[in-house]
Amino acid sequence: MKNDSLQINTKNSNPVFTDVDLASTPNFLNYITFTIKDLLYWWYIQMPIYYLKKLGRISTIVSDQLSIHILIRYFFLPWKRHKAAVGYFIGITTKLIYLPFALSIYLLAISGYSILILAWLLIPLVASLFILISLFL
Amino acid sequence: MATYSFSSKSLYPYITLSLKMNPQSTEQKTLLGYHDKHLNKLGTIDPKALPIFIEERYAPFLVTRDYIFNVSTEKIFNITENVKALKNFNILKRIFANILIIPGLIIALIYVLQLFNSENAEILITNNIMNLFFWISVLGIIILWHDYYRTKSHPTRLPNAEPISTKEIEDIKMSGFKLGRYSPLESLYFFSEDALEILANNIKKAKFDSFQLFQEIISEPLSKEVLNRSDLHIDKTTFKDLGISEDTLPSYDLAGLRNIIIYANEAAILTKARQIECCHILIAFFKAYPVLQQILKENKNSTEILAEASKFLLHEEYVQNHSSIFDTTQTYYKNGGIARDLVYGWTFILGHFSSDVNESVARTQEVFGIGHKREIESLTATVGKLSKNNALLIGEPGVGKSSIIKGLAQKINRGDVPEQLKDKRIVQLDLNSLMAQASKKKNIEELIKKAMEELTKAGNTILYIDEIQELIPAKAEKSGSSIAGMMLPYILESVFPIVGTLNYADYKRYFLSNQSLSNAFDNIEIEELSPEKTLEILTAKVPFLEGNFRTYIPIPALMVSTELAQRYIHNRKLPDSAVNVIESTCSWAQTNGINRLTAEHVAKVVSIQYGIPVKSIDAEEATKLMKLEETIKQKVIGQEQAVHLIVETLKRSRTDVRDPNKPIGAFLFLGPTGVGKTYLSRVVAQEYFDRGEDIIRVDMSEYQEVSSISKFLDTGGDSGFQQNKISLIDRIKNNPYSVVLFDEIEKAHPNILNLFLQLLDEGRLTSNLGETVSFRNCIVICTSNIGSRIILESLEKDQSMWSEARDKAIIELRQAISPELYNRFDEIVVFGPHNVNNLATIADLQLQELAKRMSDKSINLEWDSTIPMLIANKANEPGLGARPIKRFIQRNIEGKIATEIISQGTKSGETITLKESWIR
Repeated sequence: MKNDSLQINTKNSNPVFTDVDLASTPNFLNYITFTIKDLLYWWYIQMPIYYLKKLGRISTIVSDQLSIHILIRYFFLPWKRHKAAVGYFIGITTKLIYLPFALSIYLLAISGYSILILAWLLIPLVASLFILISLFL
Repeated sequence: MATYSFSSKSLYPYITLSLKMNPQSTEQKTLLGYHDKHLNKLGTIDPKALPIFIEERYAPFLVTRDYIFNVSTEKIFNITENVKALKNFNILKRIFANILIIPGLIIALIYVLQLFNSENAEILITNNIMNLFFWISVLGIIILWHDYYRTKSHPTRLPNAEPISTKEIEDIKMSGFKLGRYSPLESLYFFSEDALEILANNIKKAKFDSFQLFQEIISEPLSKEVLNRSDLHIDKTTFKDLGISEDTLPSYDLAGLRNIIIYANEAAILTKARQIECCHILIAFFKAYPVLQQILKENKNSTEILAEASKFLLHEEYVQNHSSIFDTTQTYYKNGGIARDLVYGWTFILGHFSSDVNESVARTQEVFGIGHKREIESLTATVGKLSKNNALLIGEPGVGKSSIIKGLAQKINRGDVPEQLKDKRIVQLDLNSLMAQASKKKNIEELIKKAMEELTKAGNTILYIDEIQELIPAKAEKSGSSIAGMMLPYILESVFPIVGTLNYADYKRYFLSNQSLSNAFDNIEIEELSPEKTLEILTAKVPFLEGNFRTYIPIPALMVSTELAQRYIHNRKLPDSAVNVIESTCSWAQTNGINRLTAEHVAKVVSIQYGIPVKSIDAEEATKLMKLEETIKQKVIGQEQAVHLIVETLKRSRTDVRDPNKPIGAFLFLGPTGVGKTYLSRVVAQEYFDRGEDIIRVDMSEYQEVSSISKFLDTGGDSGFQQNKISLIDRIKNNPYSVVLFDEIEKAHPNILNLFLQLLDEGRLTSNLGETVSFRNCIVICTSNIGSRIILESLEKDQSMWSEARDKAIIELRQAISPELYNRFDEIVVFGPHNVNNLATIADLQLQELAKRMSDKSINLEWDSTIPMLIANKANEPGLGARPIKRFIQRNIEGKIATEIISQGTKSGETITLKESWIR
């Protein structure tokens, strides 16, 4: 249902909208619990989706700027549409020379951003882990 | 049809401008309703009289096609209390997170100390506590980042409202709401944090203070700017004068706030906002409180203007915050990239006289093709075909033909096209550059041939040719160009898609006559945009215009531009005409050092540029209108009734109490020759249009044959510059504000008279070439001598028979013309023959004119009061009216004066006295 996604989004992204009547039980513990739940939901569910969308956008931009998409799509098209052996040869060769460079830049950009997403996911875990280690070991 | 009205009070005390929306644009997207909990009944709320339900039993709600938005008193209380409580909690949370960061800062300090070889620092760095401090700081950053970025990364988003079908609206009105079919949503969830906080601040002890809330709302920066953009000046200092007080904006139980929330929700949906902001609460206030409605009324403003201002400002804010190409909420327009030519091959030659439309639209944030969705879809389907993939965009100048091409280019760039059009590019052929290249380098044939070969090989190109008629042989021969012949095979064979633009007249002239050529294209007709869509385009241009001209442009100025352009500029259509008006006004304002446009400025510039009397009807102008009858009567003698009827019609027109789709006035003047029919027309032109005595006169005796229809509807075309060949259509196009006199209509062929039905009913005429000219700003006067004989004969016998004679003349008229035509005239005015007293007055007027001419030569002319009567008696020829008087004065008086000057040697400053002997 369309409205579910809208309501879940608003309810979970802002404690103001919670159905729990926080005001009627003026207990800060409620707020703290809600904030922690909200933080975890945002950090591990909402933001990774957000970053994946951004990764998709980066992929589109880099692919478009380096013409990767159309070069692969028209890989076997002859040079200047000259449908002769020479045309095919030059057409495919030029693309073969160019594409490795373009693809390596593309992969670099994508993998760089993927590492950032991974780091995002790991940071709270690592922080908690190291705090525990520092405290107890 | 929904209409929203606007005008500037000082500009139009009598005129209320209105933007009329076409049915497409008035599709209803929301419906307001209420639930009577006691009777368990559902009803609709009349949007013209929005109530505030103080009683809990009535629950307001808002319905869109798919959703129902609710709000309950309990929910308002709960959420606003949460807001207050969480405000304090959030402050504590931020303090806590900042404290957690402090150890990180200490670590940074220690590292700095280490640089200075401090031994203690060394010890600390190797200590385990450093790790603890560092990771605690990281936790603090995580909390702060979450706090800051949470609502930014995942903002609340109101759903888009789709139009509700007319059938559904009728069903709801007939049998009530069927709530089960809507998905329920809570209105309060879509409020922005600022708006919620302001609401919360003004709820005390389960009551809300609307006066206090209004004060806070208008102090909020965005709402302040909305008022400013809407030309409304309301602040705390003006409250008293405007009648805003705790009495007119009273405190209510919390139940009353539900209406404000629902109305704000509706305003947000209709302005396509993402969240409900303070400015939407402001609009809700103006909709719900009578005192605020009165302020709008007095300022000739409306909630639609406030809504338009909100929409504009929120959009601007959004664009500023979301301009990055990495923003996933924005559309990314592909441009093919640096190596696209490896696939398609280069177009070196074509590149010299063409431009890449895809590239140019990819560089801008502007959205093209607003209001032309249907046409863009149609164009997409045509150019996507394998054969006969050429398209002609046919429309009047200014309707947005090039915007449609750019709209298609944007669709291609974002990949929103069928597979066969993906990665295509639109190349615009620039004929002027082609000519320039041809003169510089090679001959034109060679250039075209190579360019066409390049296009064929490139395979990914759609060729766009603006004003394509320039290529067509008939036209090309005239301009001495031979491009057409070379391009025709490519056009006919559909080697690559070609899209051309041209207007209707050129289409009929150059394409209809050439069967094979017209068959090679799919025609897409482009209609003029609605004022609402035009306003959308103008609003989108505001930042650009303000940046360039350094002039503040409020929304009413844009609305007046649209309105005046639609009404008065007919040589170009909306939206271009309106864009032209607002740009001209900005330029004029900059020249005159004006830094804020008003509706008056726009009207003034339209007046200056187009010679249209849209200036304000100020006190002087109003007096002039009131005295119009008197002024005309001083010039037109003895036709009191005719003058009265005409002036009444003109007054109605000037105050806009008329149908804008018809001519200003349509009169039929009957009467014998020389009674002042043509003269009255000239006087009306002079007094009403301030155009001297310049009228468009058409002698209908020239159109007696059925074949003369084409002559009547002819356009001057290329020969139009020759004065004697300018047709009626051309003259109206050039002077839309005129008196058009059709003389002796009874002599015209009946088929031509049938054309008058359309002209008088719809205020337009379509030329042979399909061009439509508007008569809506013309006064159409037809004259006829029908019944003259009856009038003269009757009055010869008995002067008191005038009324009977007039009736007889009208009976004869009804026999001579069709009832349809008869009924289309506003007034049938029968001119009576002049009696000798009238002729004496006319003689006196003629002598005054002569005296004026003499005074230019510094010779005074005087005459005895008996002279005019003598002239009248002497010159009177029954049945010929006042013309003999003029002839008599020319022949006798002017002749004698000339003799006197020569024989007596009259010098400058001397006086000539008219003698009775000259008349006898």
